[in-house]
Formats: sequence, structure tokens, C-alpha cells
Amino acid sequence: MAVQLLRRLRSGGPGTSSARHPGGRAVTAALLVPAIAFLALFFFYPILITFGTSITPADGTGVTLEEYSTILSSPKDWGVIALTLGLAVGTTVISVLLAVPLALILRRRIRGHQALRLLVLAPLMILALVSALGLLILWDRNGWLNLLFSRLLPFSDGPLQIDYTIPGLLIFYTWLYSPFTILTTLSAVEGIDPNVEEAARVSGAAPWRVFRSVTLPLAWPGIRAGSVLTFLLAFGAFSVPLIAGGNHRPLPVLIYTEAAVFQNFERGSALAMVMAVVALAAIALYTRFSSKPVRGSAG
Amino acid sequence: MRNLLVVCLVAAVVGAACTTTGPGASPAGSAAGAGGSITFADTAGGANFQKFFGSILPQASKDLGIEIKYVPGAGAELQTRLEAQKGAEVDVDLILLKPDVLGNMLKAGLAFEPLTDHATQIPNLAFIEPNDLKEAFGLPTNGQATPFFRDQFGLLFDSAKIPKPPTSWQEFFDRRAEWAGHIGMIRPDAKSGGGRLMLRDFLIGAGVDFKKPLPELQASAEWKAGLEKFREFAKAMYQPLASEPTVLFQQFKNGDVWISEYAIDFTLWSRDQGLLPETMKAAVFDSGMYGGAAYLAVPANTPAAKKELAYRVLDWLLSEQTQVRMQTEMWEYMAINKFDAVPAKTWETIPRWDDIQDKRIPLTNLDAFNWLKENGMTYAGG
Repeated sequence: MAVQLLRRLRSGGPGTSSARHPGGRAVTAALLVPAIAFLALFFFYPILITFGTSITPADGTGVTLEEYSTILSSPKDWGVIALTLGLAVGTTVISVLLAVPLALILRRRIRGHQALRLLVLAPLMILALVSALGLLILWDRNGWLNLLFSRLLPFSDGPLQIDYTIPGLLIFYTWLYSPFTILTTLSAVEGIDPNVEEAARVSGAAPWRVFRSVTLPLAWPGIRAGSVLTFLLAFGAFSVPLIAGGNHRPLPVLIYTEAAVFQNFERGSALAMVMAVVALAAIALYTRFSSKPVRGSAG
Repeated sequence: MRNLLVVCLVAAVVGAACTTTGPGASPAGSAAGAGGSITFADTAGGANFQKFFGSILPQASKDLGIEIKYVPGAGAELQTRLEAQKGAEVDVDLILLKPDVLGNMLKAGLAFEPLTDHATQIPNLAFIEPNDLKEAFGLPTNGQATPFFRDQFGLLFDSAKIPKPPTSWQEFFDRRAEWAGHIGMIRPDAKSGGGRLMLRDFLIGAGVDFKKPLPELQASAEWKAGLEKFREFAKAMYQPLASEPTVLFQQFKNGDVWISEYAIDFTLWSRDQGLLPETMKAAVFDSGMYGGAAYLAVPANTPAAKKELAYRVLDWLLSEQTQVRMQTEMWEYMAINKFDAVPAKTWETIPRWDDIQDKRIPLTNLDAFNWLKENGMTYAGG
């Protein structure tokens, strides 16, 4: 019965709201107009302008794909694309690895869980540029966080080199963008009916099996949504690598330098288009291959 | 009946909107904006100037009865906007800009109002050196811009670590091993021009003549030798180079960097804010270092009514009262020739204008400067 209803709704056949109300489609279209107008004005139009600039020669006449050809044949530019992707993927993986155990702990409402939840939100309350400068100071040779870690780590024989390094960027990105994965994962984990996990345990499943076959599949939609957000934000990160990246300058910094410093808008626009295509491709691949992440009944 | 109700409701909402947004609605707006409003775009000032303008512009609004919308931003972005508005009325009425940005704008065919044609509306122009109204460091401006302040670069060093600083580029190069890994520099391709100016000053110190056009310069032996010498010098630098001045200051503060070349004004201001060690000192090489200025200009296609207001604000900015504040609070040299009005104790902190006037090397040869911007990292990367 339910399946039939769903089919009817999908086909727009008898029983749907449009059919019941003859003006339904017009109302739907009218309601969509503001959103479409907004997208057209503030999303598609700037993208079209950027694309137009990227294929227009500096003298403003004709069409050229020279900038794209230069980018795609430059090992240096490929290196920048790889760095940008690597940082975004690395940040996403670390965020997921942090988010899942943290969510499992927080849902038990241990003592101090509210303070921990607030702490998770802290990076979202501070401007990225301010965070970048703060992290740079905290992790520099005389920064107290660096001094603390260098004393705690047995293999360290002095201050750690964190600022201006790729591991440093991963730490900074994770601090800034992991809350998005943590919050959605926490929301998904807290939404799981404890009875489902209890039933698995009663049926003889070991804790790891319960986690792998019940908890993780049920929480996966939340993890996936959050990790996509983290990936996109890390992919587009600008302030942090500009301030704390040193010679590691990902695509957004390169685009900024080309457009705002060198005033080479053609190359800047082409790089921006390449960045958009790479981000879209990465997300498309991720959503395709992450739809069934683990064996389980709820994926 | 229902339709009538809807019409009444809409009329009430529209009426309320007009009442709240109409002239004189806001007491603040009526006080400052009674004489109209202008948009003032600042592409030259950093954080220090944003703070300074935040404190002086409300006073200007009060004195003149003109609302001043202050918009800080980048020169390249403003140029793009002005180019897009060519042939139409612009939405910026007064601009503060550095000579290289002014040069790029004039090169792009953007026109500015000849201020010298409006000397009666801007009486303080009389206190500007006449030549400063004709050209901006070799760039013919023909009255289209007036200096607002004059800044100076210098050798900046932590006197606690370097009690005896070098007095010339050659000495700096020769003694680089003493400070290996502690010589700082801002990336030549950063938004801040500090790094490329340091590179340029180094090349001038190495005997490169920036009066030559770029192709001739690139073909010269001095240019090639100078760049190679700089590549050698950069090996003693702290790497990675600072991406922006704030990062350079941080490197100074945590002891990674001990010595560099940068703007004296911004450095002293930042030292006063606690962003740099108190032991920071500045000096100017006898061979000279970059001396610049920031210019005020009114776009030619600003609406006529707005131009009148812009001239009045411009005159206020060139007034003795404002210029003295800029000298004593911002450590900038005044644009007007009224140094006698500056309190004597100011000269205990910075050298007198007469003492540095001949050591200032202006920004000329924009082609060569832009080349250094785009290619400098090849030599400065360490």
C-alpha cells in the first residue's frame, strides 16, 4: 500500500497534491521563483562571468583556452591541485576519525559532556583569520601548546616544527572544520534507537560487531553529510593557508595571488573554474562510493 | 472587502517602510548627512589607517555635515570596479591610493578630476609642494592627485639581538652569516609590497639602475649579478618567508627573525600596539631606502554634486589639525609643508623630514617592480 502511494507521488498521478489542486503546479513554480532567481543572480551569473573571463584573452577579443592549457600542462599547478585535494581529504579523514568516537562518548552524557559539546563549537565562533593567527602563535617555537607537546612526546628533543608545514595545516584545518562532521555525526548517533543496538548485543554480537553492523550503518548518513561539508570547507580554505601555510599555498591562495596581486584575472578565473570542477568531481565520486560504506542493514 | 483590507495593509507597510528609511529618520543621519554623503575608498592604509580613519572621519562628518562612508579595500579590486564603471557614474567619490595603484589605474585609462582646477574649493592644496601635484614619483599626474601622507621604509632590527646593525646593503650582505636564518622578508608576491620593495632596494644597493626600461635592465650585467647576489643573500633568510606583515611581526616577536626591511610607520605603530618587541629600532641606509606616499584623488566620472562634497572632505584631510595628528599618531610624514606645527618631541621617535628627505628612493619603473612581484619568489625562495 505504502509502495503504491510512493509510486503515485513520484509519478504525479491521481492522488498527488497537483492533481487534487489544478493550480498546484503553478503554485509550486511560483514558490520556486525566488530560489531560482537567487541562484541565477548570485551563483550562476558569477560562475558564468568567471568562466567568460577565463576564456577571454587579455586583449578582450575572441575566445581562448590558453589558460586551461597552461594550467593542465604545468606540473607546478598540478602540484597545487594535489596539495589542495590532499589537505581536504586528509582533514576529512581525520575529522571522521575524531567525530565517531567522540560522538559515541558524548551520547553517554558523561560528566562534563556539555562543556565538551561547547568546546566542539568553539572554532565556529571565531573568525578563520583570527583562528589562523592564534594557531600560528600557539604552535610556534615558543608557543605554549608546542612547548607542552614537545615535553609530552618522548621522541621530541625540542620545539616541534608545526607552523608552515603540511602536518601543521592539517592540524589547523581539523581544528576549524571538524566541528561540521562532529556535529552531524553526534546528531546521527544520538538519533539511533538504543534498543536496536541492545537487540544485536542480546543476539550475541560482540561490541565491535554491533558497532560495525548496526551503529556505523545507522550513523553513516550523518557522518557522510558532515564529512562532505568538512571536505568542501577545507578545499576552499583561504585564510589559514595564507597566514600559516608558508610555501604550501593551495588553490584558493594561488587564485587570490593571481587575481588580487598580479591582476591576472584570466588565469585566476581559469584556476577558479578548475577548482570548482575538481571539487564537484571529488564530491560526486565520494557520494557515489560512500552510499554503502559498510555491511549492514541500514546503509 | 477582503481586497480592500489587503490594499490597506500593503499601503500601511509601504508607508511604514518609507517613514523608516526616508531622510531625517535617523538622528545620526540627520546630524552628519544633512549636507549629503560620499564614499571614501581607502586602498592604501593597513589596519593602522583603518583605525585612524575610524577615529577622525566622524569628526570630519561633524565639522562638515557630510556623511562619509569609509570603505577599505584592495587597489586591484577597486581598479576592476572602476574599469567596469567606465563611461558611467562611479559609486566611489574619493580614493586614497599608493603610487603603483595610481600608476596602474592611469595606465588602464581611468581618469581623475584635476584637483588644481579646484584650488578655491581645496585651499589647503596651497601647502602642498607644487611638484608633488604635477607628478607622483616620476608618474605624471598633472594635478589629478595630491599626496596625503609620506611614508618611509627602513632597516628594522631587534636591538637586543643586533646591537650593531649594518649601515649599507653591502655590509648587510657581507655580515649575513652573523644572522643566518634570522633575516626576515615578506614574500615578493604578497599583497603587501614590503617584500618586493626590499628586493628592489637590495638591487639598487647592488648597483642596479632602475631608471632603465625593463628590457634594457634585464639585459644588463648589473641586473643579472644583482639577482644572483640576492639569491645568495636569501639563503641566509628565515624560511618560509612571511606571507603578510602580521606574520613577519610574529616572526620578530617569537625570535625567529631579528632583522628586515619594512615600513617604519606601520612598524612603530605596531610596536606601540605591543605586536613587536619593545627593543625594535629602525634606521635608514645612507644609500637610501624606499620612500613613498599615499595620494587622494577624485574619479572624473564621480557625479558633480558628489565632487563638491569630496573636495571639502579632501581639504579637511589636508588641514593642519589632521596632518599633525597623522604625524604624531601614525608616524607618517605630513603631506603639507607645515612641519613647524608638529610637537618637537615627535622628532625624538622618528628622524626629522629634513634628515631623511634625501635618502628616499621613490617607486619608479612599475614594469620592473611588477616583474619583481611576479618573479621575486624564484630568487627569494631560499
